[in-house]
Amino acid sequence: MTSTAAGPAYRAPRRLGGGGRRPDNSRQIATRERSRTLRATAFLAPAVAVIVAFVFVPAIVALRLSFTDASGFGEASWIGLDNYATVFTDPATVRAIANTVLYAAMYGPLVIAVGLGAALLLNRRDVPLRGFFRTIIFLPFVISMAVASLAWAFLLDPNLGLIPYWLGGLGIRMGDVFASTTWALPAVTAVAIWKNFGYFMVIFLAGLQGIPRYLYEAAILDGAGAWRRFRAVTLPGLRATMTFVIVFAIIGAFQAFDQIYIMTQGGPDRATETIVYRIYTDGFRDFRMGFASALSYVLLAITLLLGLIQLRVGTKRERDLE
Amino acid sequence: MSTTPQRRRHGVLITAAVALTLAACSAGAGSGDDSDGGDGGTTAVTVWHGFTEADGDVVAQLAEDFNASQDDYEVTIEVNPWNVITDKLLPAISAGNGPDVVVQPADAGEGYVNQGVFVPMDDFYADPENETDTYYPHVVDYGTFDGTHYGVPMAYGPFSVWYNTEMFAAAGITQENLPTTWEEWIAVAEQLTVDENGDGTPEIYGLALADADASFLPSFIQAGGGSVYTDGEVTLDTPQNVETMQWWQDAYEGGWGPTNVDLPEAVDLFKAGKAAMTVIGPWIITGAESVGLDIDVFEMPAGPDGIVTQAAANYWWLTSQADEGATAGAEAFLRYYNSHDSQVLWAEQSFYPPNRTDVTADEIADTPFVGTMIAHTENAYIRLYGLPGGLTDVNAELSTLNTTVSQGGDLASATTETAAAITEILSRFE
Amino acid sequence: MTTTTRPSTRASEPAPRPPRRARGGTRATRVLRQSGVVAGLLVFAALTSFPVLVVVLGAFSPESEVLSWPPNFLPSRFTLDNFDGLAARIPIALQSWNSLVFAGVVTASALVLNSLAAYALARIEFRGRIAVFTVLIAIMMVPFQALLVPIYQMVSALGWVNTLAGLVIPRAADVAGIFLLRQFFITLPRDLDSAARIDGAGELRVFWSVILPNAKPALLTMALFHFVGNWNDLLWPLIMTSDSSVRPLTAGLALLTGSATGVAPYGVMMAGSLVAILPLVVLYLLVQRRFIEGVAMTGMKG
Repeated sequence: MTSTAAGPAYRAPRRLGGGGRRPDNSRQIATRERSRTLRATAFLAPAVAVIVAFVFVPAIVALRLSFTDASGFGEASWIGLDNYATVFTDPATVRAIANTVLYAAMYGPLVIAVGLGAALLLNRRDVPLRGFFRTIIFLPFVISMAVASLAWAFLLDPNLGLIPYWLGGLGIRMGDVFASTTWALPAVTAVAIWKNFGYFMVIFLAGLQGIPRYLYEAAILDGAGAWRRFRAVTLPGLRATMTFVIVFAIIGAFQAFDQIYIMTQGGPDRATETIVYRIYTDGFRDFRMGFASALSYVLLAITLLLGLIQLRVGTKRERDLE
Repeated sequence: MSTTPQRRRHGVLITAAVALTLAACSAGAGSGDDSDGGDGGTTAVTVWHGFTEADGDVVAQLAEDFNASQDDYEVTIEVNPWNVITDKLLPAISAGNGPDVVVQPADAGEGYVNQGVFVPMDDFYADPENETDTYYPHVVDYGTFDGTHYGVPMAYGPFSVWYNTEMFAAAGITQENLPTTWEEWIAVAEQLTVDENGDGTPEIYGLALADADASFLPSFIQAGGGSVYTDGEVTLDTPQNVETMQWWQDAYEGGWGPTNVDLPEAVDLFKAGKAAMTVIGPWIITGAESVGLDIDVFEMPAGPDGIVTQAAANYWWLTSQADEGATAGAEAFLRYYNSHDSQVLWAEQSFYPPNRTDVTADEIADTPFVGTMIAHTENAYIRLYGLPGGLTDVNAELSTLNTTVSQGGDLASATTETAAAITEILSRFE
Repeated sequence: MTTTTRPSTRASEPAPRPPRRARGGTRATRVLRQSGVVAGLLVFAALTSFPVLVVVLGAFSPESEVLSWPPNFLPSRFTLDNFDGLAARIPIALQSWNSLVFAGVVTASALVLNSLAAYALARIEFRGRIAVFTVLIAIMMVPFQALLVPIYQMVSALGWVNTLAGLVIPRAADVAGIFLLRQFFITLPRDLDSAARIDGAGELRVFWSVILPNAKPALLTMALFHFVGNWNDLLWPLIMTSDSSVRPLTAGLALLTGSATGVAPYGVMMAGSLVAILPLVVLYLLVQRRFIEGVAMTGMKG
């Protein structure tokens, strides 16, 4: 297969033409191709118009700001790449990048694993009270981060919370996880996984519906055990789903903000400051809109790199499937 | 591939054109309204604040009364959470959708003044009818930058020591022997601490003092005779300041209080009856009422260099969005708000001490505590006043230092490190 | 949706499932495995529901017991005071309605626009579809916080601040939704549309009568995510609206955190949380059976 990102324009015609057609068909092929492009354009136009107006254009505005000393108000002057240089020299920002990478490394794999695990359990037909479990397990996703934070802060408060109180009754002393420079980031990650795994679970559940049952039946006839069925049938069947899930987990991980904004405000001692949290405080609180925009584009570069690697692997697999 | 970029470019152009056209239309409509105002209609004055409890109700009532009292101006109040005001103030004012008058704390003021978002109010102060000479001078000073008046006092809430009356009575502490110095205060805190099972973690703390967010560190340093920041210089790293912090580090060994708590957590401990004292502003009255807790108040005890406490100081600020009519309306409303009668109402219903020196304790005698707190205003200063920006980052640095104070560690080196970090942060704003 | 393809879907289902017995093991191992699954689910359920339970109980507790020492799991008495307090502070019915309209309209328009775009990207082999797709994905990776101010300026220039249009139109289509649907559309067998095309169906017919009915689980999934996400969204409605009469419920509830430290009425906040969660739980209950056990996209490739 040819590469995806580098030369997509050359791939399509070859596929569409089916390779070795006779030359007298070329005009017909071109006409058909033009008609396809037209139809695709018509289907894409409404959504793309919205996205261009409210995402793409603002993104260009932000890109322009990243080369200025904009404060968010009044005039700004062009300062070239200074903001980008600051991103990699400002200790607080470097720390935020490191925190974000650490967060992503914990959050990404775990949220996918937990989501897939829950989906596999709930997809079984022999589970009693399946509807009940599906509802209960999905609850954290339905509630807002504000409510989730309120609940967890109540439960884990070292002085007044139920969990430390009950553990204390068992003789276990539990410190304040959100105030510990070591544990705050893992704790925030855990809450985010708790909150979001339901999202991935639902996508996996829907994806699991797409795997033809007869494949499992064939595998059983071949004497495949549960693990082999998982490896040979479930995982390949979830390929397209997996591409989406992984790209989404990467984006979610690198854009971690809500739970930090609500629960720790980046503390203690910057232990939970992530890239987006810094973008937010620099841009909105400290009049550094230009710098915040530059940091956003550094983040974009990081996510894009990881996302495109995944997407390229994923779409190649998809094509192999076809 | 060939068609998409072109189409996208078209899309951008179309969107931009639509946006510009509509902007032009709405701008035209807007100026039309203004001229109507000049012809004898009412001029709209938009106000943003974040008060949501009893305090917010009083502001709403005063705005309503003001609107009813005259026909020239119509004040519209929009309540947003404080952090949301911070988030959207700049873009909203840039776009002309913001407030004409906004309530913001004093420490946020200078940053906005430097950006040109908040505009001078010298005219308001110059007009004797506004009776600005009845304001507390130090409170007015906090809203003054380079000799120009910007902020008008709105709500000045001194932090005082609030205590659980039941626990004080049980310990035999009366109105007569309330602590007045740090030494006495900590002694009382130790006396009130209860650790029945002797596991080192008290069931009841004598004093819940926020340390994780450096709430009180600047005040303590000031009460020790120093300061974190003076006249554009970081003055944190002095032997005197280290000595002050050392005193608190030693005091913390008495085990009278929790560590690693921020301000809301410390107040929650007090509200839950797990701490006998806490330091907070007058709004705790509402909070204590809601959980049925009996409380009383005394002034922050004195440090080596006298009494220093902080105030939650909110001011009215006029924004660059306000045109001539809105400015006149804003000034009229602020005069009404800070008039004698309005301030009596404000004190009685919001529990904040009044903004005017001529409202006496007798006039608000029916309202508990507020009369007492009038006296606390004198020694209530603004935390980290005059910082040119980077407050979030400076707070993060100070929090680290504060946890060294409360949990142990070498203070001299920690102070030097923190001072260097703050200098670095502030260098961005030179 | 249309019923035209239903018969064909059924017709192409695989041979009837072999009886349960064939799926392996004796009765004993089956019971063992089943109890393992149930145990796993119970652990999951306990972990996920406990914090929610705390909120629900807190909503019915007297304020003095929500925050108390020692902490209570169950209140000494149940009360509706918090709901009175809630009603006194925010216009619940109006803001719930606003939430319903906001989340509902965004979801409806996203269903239409996103599925159209996803169809083009997944099922029409036009030139540069991968390029368009890649650019869209890249756009999704710019953090929302960086775009908030430019978007606000755009909405403001259009005169849409404090209006439903300002809340909804910028979200009428989104890359995440297109991406989700594309990933599902792409798994549908090619034979589906070929068959329809041979019968003379145009692009819109294929989209409407072949792809959409077979993608119901994906559409329901996307709809659920969009509805829940927008219903719960905080920053966006708070920035785009200032007037409490156009505000959705979650944004209204944000005001309950209190204007100053220590006055946050926790019981009322929990009551508000409960009011905000309930419609979503009901929605999920209505939808979950359908979108998980709905029109299965099985057996088409064989």
